[in-house]
Amino acid sequence: MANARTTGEAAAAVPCEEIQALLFDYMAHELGDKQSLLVRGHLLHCEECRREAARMERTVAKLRGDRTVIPPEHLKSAARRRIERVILHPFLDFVYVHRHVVAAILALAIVSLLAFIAGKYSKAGPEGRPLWLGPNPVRETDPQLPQTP
Amino acid sequence: MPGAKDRLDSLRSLVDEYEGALLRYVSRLMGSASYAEDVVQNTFLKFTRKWRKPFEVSPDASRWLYRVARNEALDHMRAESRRRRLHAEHGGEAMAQPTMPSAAPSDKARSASDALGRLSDRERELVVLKVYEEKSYKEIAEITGLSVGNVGYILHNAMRKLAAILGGDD
Repeated sequence: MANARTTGEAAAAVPCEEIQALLFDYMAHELGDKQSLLVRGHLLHCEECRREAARMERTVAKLRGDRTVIPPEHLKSAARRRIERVILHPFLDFVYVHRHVVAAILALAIVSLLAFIAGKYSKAGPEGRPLWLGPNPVRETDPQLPQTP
Repeated sequence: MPGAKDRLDSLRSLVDEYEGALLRYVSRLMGSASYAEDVVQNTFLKFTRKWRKPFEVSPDASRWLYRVARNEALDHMRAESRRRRLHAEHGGEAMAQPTMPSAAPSDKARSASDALGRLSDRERELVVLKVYEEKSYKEIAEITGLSVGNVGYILHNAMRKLAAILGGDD
């Protein structure tokens, strides 16, 4: 009994600033036994710290009671399907994740194919002229070959 | 090595277990429920692609999910704030801002979420984890990468600010 009174008196002697710094930790059950006892003992004797503790409690209650933001309880089924697709269709998911790289590789492949086709047909012309441009037109400035008898 | 069906079943249980908590956490963190679903979906997508251990409800998985959800939410908020700033610079000042961190603490907040919006990202995150998700300081430290002492210190300051903003009186 005397020991409890001594502890209470010691707690009452602790400066209020120190106790108020511990109030939220005390309310959140994050203090060890010794510190909890100190805060509890101080609160029994100190009106000002009790008021501060009540203010903190009201603040927490206001935060918890706020209904301005109402979070959804579940993901929509489309979102769940999208998540499950990672397991069900890993290849498609890989392509989707690396879509920029895949698109770049595809574009490069198409350009290479076109260049290859263009190169192949350009070599087929008799005078080095691409086939798709048609026969070489005769220009007036071309030198005339001498007529052979 | 479990088959696709087993993995799918485990993933479904895991989503069932954490989706509500993550949606609450992200909505409170962002001050709006509008983008919470996108953020949580991306979190689970990353989890499914990157988690190398079995899909089980565990403290490790929980920590991982909260951490990734937090990063996704903060990235989203930064992108949104950049977009708003650009919009304002180009003559669209009329756009509404959902959170208002610059307001003076003495102004009466309309609601608790307004008050939360006036805290820094870090303070808001810790308050949401402690007050709404009821995580211990140790769990919060693991999610945020802060020390336990730092968590207590930041929370103490954040709660004092909130008490000042919300008045604390009925």
